[in-house]
Amino acid sequence: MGSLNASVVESISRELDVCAMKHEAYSANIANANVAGYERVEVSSSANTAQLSAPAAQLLHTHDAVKLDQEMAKLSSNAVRYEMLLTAYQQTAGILNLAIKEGRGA
Amino acid sequence: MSMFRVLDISSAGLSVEQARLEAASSNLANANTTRSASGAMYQPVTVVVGSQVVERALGMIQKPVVVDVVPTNAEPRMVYEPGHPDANEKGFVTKPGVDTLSTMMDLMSISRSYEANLRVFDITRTLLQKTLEVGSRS
Repeated sequence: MGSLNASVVESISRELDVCAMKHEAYSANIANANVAGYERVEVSSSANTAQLSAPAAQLLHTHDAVKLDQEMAKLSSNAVRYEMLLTAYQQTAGILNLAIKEGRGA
Repeated sequence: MSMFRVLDISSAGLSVEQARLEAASSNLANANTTRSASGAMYQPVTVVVGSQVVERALGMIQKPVVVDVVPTNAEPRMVYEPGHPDANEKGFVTKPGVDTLSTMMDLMSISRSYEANLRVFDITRTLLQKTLEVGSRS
């Protein structure tokens, strides 16, 4: 589909994937906070929306220890972002749905 | 799906903290134990926690696992209690080398970690629920 909406849906779902990946990394850091010698992992995402085929994000090993409060803060703000993206996804899908129904009925 | 794996990681964190809590409470409760069933002295225990790679292509996300519960090599305390039946000829009773202060500090860190893992679990559950609601409302 070459429509504008389709690419929006695609980039939103890509961002959702990155968000889910970040959520996983932060929760692993929190779970391993008390493991001796554990090094926190971080997700680096590139804001390269022009190349949709490029991998969205990658996991990186940092050499820092886990700071529980910082990790919790990151996780919460990431969770809010995830919810925001979900809402955006839903709105965009709603518009597509409206087009599919030829504008009739909500 | 990665979100379900997060629940797995968080519950691994919860069970590790539970094991640490068990060890700490055992140490505190036995701080004044002078004899045990086997006759040997109670030795304070500590939990050894390791990381295990969660099934994943990128292979860097790890979950904590309890590797072992081992006795520490803490020196027993000598307490002067002449009337005690387990006292030696000089009136000293041998008690387990439980460091009450640091065990209490451990308890605080265990409590914080447990709370954090529980919170992550809760957030993940909410996100999963919101994800399932996509499409049902529009």
